[in-house]
Amino acid sequence: MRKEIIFTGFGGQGIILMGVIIARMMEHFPDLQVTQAQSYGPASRGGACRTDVVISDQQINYPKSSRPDVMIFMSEEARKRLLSEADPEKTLVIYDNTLIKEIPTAYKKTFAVPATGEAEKEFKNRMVANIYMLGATIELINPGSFDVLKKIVASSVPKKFEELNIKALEAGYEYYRTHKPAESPAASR
Amino acid sequence: MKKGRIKVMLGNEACVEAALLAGCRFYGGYPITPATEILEIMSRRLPLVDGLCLQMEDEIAALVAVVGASWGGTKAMTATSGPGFCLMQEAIGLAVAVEAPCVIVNVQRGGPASGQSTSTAQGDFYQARYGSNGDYSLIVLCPSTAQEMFDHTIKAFNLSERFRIPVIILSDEVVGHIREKVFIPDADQLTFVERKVPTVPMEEFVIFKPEENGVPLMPTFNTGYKSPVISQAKSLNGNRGNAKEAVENIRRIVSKIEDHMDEFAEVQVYGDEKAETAFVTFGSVCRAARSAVDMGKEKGLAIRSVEVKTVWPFPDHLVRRALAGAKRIVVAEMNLGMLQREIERVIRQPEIKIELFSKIGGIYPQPQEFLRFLEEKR
Repeated sequence: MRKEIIFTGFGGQGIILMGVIIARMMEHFPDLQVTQAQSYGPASRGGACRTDVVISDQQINYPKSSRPDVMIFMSEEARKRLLSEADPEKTLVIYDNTLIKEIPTAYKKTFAVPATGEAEKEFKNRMVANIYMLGATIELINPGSFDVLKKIVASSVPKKFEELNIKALEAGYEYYRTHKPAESPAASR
Repeated sequence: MKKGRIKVMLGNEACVEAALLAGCRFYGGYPITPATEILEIMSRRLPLVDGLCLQMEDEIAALVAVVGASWGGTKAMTATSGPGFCLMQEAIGLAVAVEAPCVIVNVQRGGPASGQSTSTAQGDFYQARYGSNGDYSLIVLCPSTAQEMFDHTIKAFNLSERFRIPVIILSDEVVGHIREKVFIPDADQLTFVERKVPTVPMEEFVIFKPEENGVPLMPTFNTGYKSPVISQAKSLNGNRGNAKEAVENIRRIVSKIEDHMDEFAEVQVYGDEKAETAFVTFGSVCRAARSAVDMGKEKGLAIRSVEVKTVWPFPDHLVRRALAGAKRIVVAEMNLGMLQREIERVIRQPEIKIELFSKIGGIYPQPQEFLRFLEEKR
């Protein structure tokens, strides 16, 4: 099993943190290996920004994504730049439909999550859109690990925002439960 | 099975973790992308173990401070990248000449000059070996994973103390900034080497007189032993004057390492050891080559991947053995052909052309590209 996930958006959304959280979660799964690499430099401070996470039950050699199973888009700019890395048939394309209008119909597997909209509406703080998105997608990334995710999120955010982030995470998870895409979890190789 | 714990950490973080475990208590540095995390984490961690982390005015001073700390009896290190590594070359020569054990990490980025600060590269391959002036030798280790960043750091400290030399860890941006699981053994599961200090009466002590293994005993400053430590060519007693002894000393600082390469030289082979097609790599590129070997296997292609873990002194006979029987040799590296030149020197078979699969500009090669190279250049 090798699963490649790409998180992408613009600098400041906490895209890299999403990858770091998933990577750190794997400390709780002794049989799984993980690598997390990130786009580094000016891109992570405003421009299009990405992090690649690879999860495998084998030793991971090539540490980046070359055939992503899941791509999570959190900005229009990122969609324009990176959608071409998705396989129209195989890659599950998840997108924040507050910020991205649509994904071309050529892409067969998609899941829209209004992360930024919900973060603004429910929590009056778009800073938690990334955590909402993690809640909405964890079952598609690493099924059955929501509790571990909760623990890692709690220890990854500033103490005074912990409660807010956990609420956003739970709201995202609830969104997944009520809106999950027909075919799930994502196919893995 | 060793006892220890597993933690997801950055390659640069793993380096710090290992250094502290190995007993490093002094860090002299200057921040530079993509090595800065090492200084940052050291500045938080060293004070907690009664160590000292000093940010100096530049990389020249940083390494000179490390040499001083080393003579003060402390295990010491620094970390930098290309432009800082350039500034350190003078002090690398100093560390070699005064035989100060220390560890220098170079997390490579694109060059020349300021180059590409956030991109990966392997262009400092020769600089790590030949950057300073005169005849000398040192040891250069090349990690390709966060785990190897950890393991090689322990090894680097041990070798530096064993041989009394600067040991260079030639990493790169991909390895420094990868996050993955690292196994951290408990301290009692590891072996740590300490420099040998003199115990003879002070008047009998001759500072640069070697022991049988070519390495002199090292007193700590301010312990009473006469310790003239100068950067010039010197006699056994540490002063200038005896030309014959000075020449012998230069030969010795080279042979003390190169006569004992079997203690540390390491070359690994991944894949089919008998395959006629071979990749040769070092550092982070090893990982992409391994994936290419696996993908090739799925397609029925037999490939071996030869990974040079200790690039200097270059392990000629280990590389020759690892490549024995190979008919097609492709060197893959993120520069315009440096390891390639060493392989050409080592494999002198006119019927075998040493091919180069090269990536520069911060592009980390994809496994598919290795296979495409094999197909297209046939």
